[in-house]
Amino acid sequence: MARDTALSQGVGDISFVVVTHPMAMIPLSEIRKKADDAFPEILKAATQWKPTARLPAMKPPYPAECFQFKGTVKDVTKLFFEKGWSMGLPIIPPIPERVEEMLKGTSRKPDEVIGIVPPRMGVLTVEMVAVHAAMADCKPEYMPVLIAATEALLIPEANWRGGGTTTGTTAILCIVNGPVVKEIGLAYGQGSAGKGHHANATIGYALNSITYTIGGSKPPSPDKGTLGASSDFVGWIFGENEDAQPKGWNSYHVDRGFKRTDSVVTVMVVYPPVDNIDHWSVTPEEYVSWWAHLITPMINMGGPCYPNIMGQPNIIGMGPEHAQTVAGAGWTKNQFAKAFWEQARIPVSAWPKGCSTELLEEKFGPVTPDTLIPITSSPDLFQIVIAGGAGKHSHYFAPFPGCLPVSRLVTK
Amino acid sequence: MAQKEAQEWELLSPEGVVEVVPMAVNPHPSTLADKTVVLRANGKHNSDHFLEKVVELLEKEVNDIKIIKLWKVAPETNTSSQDSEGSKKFAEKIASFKPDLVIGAQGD
Repeated sequence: MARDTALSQGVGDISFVVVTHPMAMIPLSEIRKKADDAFPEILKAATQWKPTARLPAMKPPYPAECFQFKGTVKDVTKLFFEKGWSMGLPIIPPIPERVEEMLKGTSRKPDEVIGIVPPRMGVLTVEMVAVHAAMADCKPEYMPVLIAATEALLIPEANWRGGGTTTGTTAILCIVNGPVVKEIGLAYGQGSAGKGHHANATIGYALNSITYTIGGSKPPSPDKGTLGASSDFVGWIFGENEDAQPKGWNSYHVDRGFKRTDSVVTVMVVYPPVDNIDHWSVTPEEYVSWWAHLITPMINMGGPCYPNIMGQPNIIGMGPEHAQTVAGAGWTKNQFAKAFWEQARIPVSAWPKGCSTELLEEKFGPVTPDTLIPITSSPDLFQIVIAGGAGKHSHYFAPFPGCLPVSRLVTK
Repeated sequence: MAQKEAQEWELLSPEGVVEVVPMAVNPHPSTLADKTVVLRANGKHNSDHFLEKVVELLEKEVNDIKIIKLWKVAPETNTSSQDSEGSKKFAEKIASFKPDLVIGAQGD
């Protein structure tokens, strides 16, 4: 990954000494032995290494390269996979006519550069979004949502790079609000983040196709995912269930400062969600208590290991029936967040000893092994979205370190 | 079936191009004697311990070497930079020590 990162920063060659895994979770004596063994090579690299590789000259990003190929649809899929242009699932061949059709779904010019997708630093043009949308079988009317999602992910606070290179299991969470949800038929109710919904599936597929090919987030490097997940193919894409919004509660995009009539995409790179199964609580107090025991700061590390994460928002995809339990008792979102924040805590002693408390103490003052640590530094960092349909389930999306939710208006 | 028969396709490549500004790496010094070396850990478990041992060995093997343990003198760099802007800030911090060489432990 370090080599790929260097390349993406313009460094064609750099000196490496490879020390085999594991590095972490081994005793001090073992890590010191690894350093001892590697030292002769480190000293040699420090004083004898010379760069050799040169970076290739950059071609213009537009128009996309067009080429001829003879074969069946299956052969095209095979070719794209072998070239590293698809993730392993079938694709629709991106013929010029299909890409042109896709471009009719947006008023944006095809040569417009939306941004540079890390870690490969691939140039993402509107045309290139259309190519991937065509491959994923999107409809042209999905293009504005797909473009807005890529724009949001390209904001540095979204940390697209982190999600695409981590050893952790992460996914793109993409929540859509406003009129565009119904206009394009994006699912927002029962099972909306799952199978059987064309808009959700194909937008998600296209988004990850862009991440994989333009962004170059490919295993085993620079995508260093320890296990990976099916969400590498299609992330968590759904509309907020605004129809099921409890009376007096705002939609998520309104909470984030947009108008109710705005169409908005919000993205965040997240860990796999935790499903809160609660068929039993009849009061908000019971519901919060159970939630708080299910979700600890461990869910996103936080605490002594990475206290910076405690300043990041977490997204609670509250099921409509759970939301009614909370709101029906007159609770606001803020009341829920405050109660949840106060109860979802574990002591410092729960973390492995290798997690030094130095950084935590720098931020929050002295701690003891018994000090109870919350998930976030303040309750307002819990953001509530009404997610899914009937059923007694809610979902907790913890952020990957350095990844904040980023919203963009959807424009035609 | 038509799908079984090969046909001529005109296809657009989905790969796109890469935009990077080529950056030259300074030549390494031929000796570390009398030189300043910055060692940087990335905050992952044991990265500092690994470098501590490297420091001990450097000080034993090389005369008059000046070692800067970045994770001690600039703990804010003891993590992943998250983005290019963050990487630039880390690089500027490292450059402020005017090192002749930087050794990083990129553990994970």
